[in-house]
This record gives sequence, C-alpha cells and structure tokens, in this order.
Amino acid sequence: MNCEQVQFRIDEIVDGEMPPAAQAELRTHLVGCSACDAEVRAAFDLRARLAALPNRVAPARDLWPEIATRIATRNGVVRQSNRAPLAIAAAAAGIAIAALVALLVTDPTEPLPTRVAGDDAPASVVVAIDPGLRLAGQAMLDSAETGGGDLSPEAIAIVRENLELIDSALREIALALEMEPDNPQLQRQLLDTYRGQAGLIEFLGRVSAQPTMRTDL
Amino acid sequence: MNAVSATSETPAIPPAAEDDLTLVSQAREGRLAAFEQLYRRHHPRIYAVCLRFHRQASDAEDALQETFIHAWERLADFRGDAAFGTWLYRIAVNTSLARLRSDGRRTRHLQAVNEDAVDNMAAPVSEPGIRIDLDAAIATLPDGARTVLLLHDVEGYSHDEIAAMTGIASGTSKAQLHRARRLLRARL
Repeated sequence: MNCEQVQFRIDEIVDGEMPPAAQAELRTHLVGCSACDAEVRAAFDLRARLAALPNRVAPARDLWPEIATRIATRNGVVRQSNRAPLAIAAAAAGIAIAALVALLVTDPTEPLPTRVAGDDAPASVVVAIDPGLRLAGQAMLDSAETGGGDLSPEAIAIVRENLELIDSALREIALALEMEPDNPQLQRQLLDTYRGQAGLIEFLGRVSAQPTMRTDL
Repeated sequence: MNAVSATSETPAIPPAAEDDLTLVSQAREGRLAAFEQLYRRHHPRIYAVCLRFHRQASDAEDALQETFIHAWERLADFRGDAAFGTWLYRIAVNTSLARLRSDGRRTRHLQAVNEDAVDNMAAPVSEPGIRIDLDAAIATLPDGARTVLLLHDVEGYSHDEIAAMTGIASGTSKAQLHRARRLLRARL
C-alpha cells in the first residue's frame, strides 16, 4: 500500500471497514511512513472527538413560552363542543381583544413599548394593562362551568390550564424585560405571547358562538 | 457571521416524575402542561442537534421551536414503537434538514462559489498549542459536507440512512463524509 492509497482509503480505516488483508498492508506501510501514520492517527482522533461532542445543550433562553404561544395560536388547544354557546362572554372577550389589538398592534414591525404608564414605569406594567383580557377568559370559563354552557368540563379544564400557562409566560417575559427593557427579542416575544392569549380567547369565543346557537336568547 | 459553538454545558436530565408515554397521552388530550414537561425533559438533546445543523444560535432556536410544534401537531402519529425521545429526535433532524434545504434554495448560487472557496481555503493560522474549537471548525464546513458529517459521525446514522433522509445517493454521502473529514483535519 502506498501513501495515495492510504489517503484514498482512510475512511475505511477509521470506520473499521477495511478487509484484514488490506489492514496488514496498511500496518506495513505505516511502520515506514511517519506522514501517513500521523494522518491516520489524526483521523482516529477526529472521529473520537466528534463522537464525544456533548449531546445535551441548553439554549441561552427559555423558548417554551414562544412554543406554547405558537401552539395555542396555530390550532387552538381547545376541543370544540356542540353544546350551547356563551355568547355574552364571547362578546366580552371580543371587546377585550379589540382593545388589546388597538393598544398593541398598531404596527407589528415596531418594537413594543415596554413603558406604557410613564417613562419611569417598570416594564412589568405592560402585563398589568390587560387584566380585562385575562379576566374575560376566566369569566367565560366560570360562566361555562356554572351555567351549563357550550364547553365540556374537560375542555374547560384544558382551556383554564392553558390560559394559566400563557399568563405565567407573560409574567416570565415581563421579568426578563425588567432586566433588559430594550431587548427587541423580548419585546417581540411579549407581543407574540399577548397575541397567543388573545388568539386562544378569540378561539374560545368562536367555539362558543358556533353551530348550536341557543334559540332561547 | 457568528459561528456557533456548542457550550460544554450539559444540563441534567430532569427526573421523570411521569413517564413519557403518560405525558404523551395527556398531551394528546390537549394538555399543554403535559407537553411542557416533555419539552423540559427533551429540549437540551434536541437543541444540541439543531445547534450543530445551523450556524447561528437564532436559527437553532427556530429549529427547536419548529421541532416541538411539529411534534405537537403529530402526536397522534406517535405509536410508541420507539422511545418518544427517538421519535422527537428524528423530527428535529428532518426539520433541520428541511430548513437547510430551504436556505440552500435561496443561496444556491452563492453556495456553489463558497464551497469552492472553502475547499481551496488555507487552514486557519494556528499557533503551537492552540487548537481550534471543534464546533467552530464544523461550522465552517460547506452545508452538504457538514450535514453528512453530523449525521454519520456525531449522530451515528449509516450512509444508507443518510441517503434516505437527505435524498442523496449513498455514494455521495460517502464522498461528502470524506471531504468533511479532510477539511476538518486540515483545520484542526
């Protein structure tokens, strides 16, 4: 075996795919060729280093809030029901959503202002500006639970759980914004999470207002 | 371009209070909290994969998010034949490959030029005793060579499996691996 053949077959060597007869020829060549010997050692070393790369790495930030928001916004996490709608609560949510959209989504390309109540207000104020939306969602669920409305108890529990998760995500993002108030990624994340919350409640309202409209209203 | 180097941080696996199958079952019912537990348990492994396929951390984060969203949408397809982590891992690889293909379509004409340049590029100057970070060196590889290297040498797929996943011939996979290793040895 010569140097050119070693270069050509070096992957076979490293991957243990070289037939025994060729291995013997290789060994003979390596004894007399320090350059090929070094090359083969480097190839084995590289293979070992690649195999030893860490296989668990934490992202620099928590990405779950964005994932939860996108899931909630995309296809809803609420199972539709064919029971009677919650028209009043849905309307309340609609009003809250409209107010929120007017407040926040004037230009989606603009960074979200993190200080809305005055220049010296902390970023967490942003979370406090929309209790109506969260409360509307809770009111819809409370009404559904006690009033025999549109949604099954299982669906109500799931929606409630998911609204709480989004609420928790909003609090986490607001805390992060307190540390980095000018971080555009956090600002965008906050806006997206608000949209997710609005989307979920809007979805809830839509479900409530669907097919089986009550005839007694 | 900021080359991404994986940190040596290796987060501990959270204790499995409930097994994956139970959580998957709850997530299928729409329980996002159960899916969050699955995310917390598996995301460092998935992020490590995404990070190696994409040069920028922001792209890896996007790929991670897409992976879990795809997984959520396909939970009904998970039959439990393989471990949930394995199923998720496969989605991450496919998601990353799809993203690379999509990026490749946008930059193909540039890439053709750049790959020639990479092959002909002199190895980075290194002082005695200083070794280039392996992840940084991997990030300098052309996309095709990097993909095959990662799938074969890091993730342990065979050339036939790589061919099926990427749509290239098995022989092309071998050639790309040879090229990637040669380039890496030159840089390290």
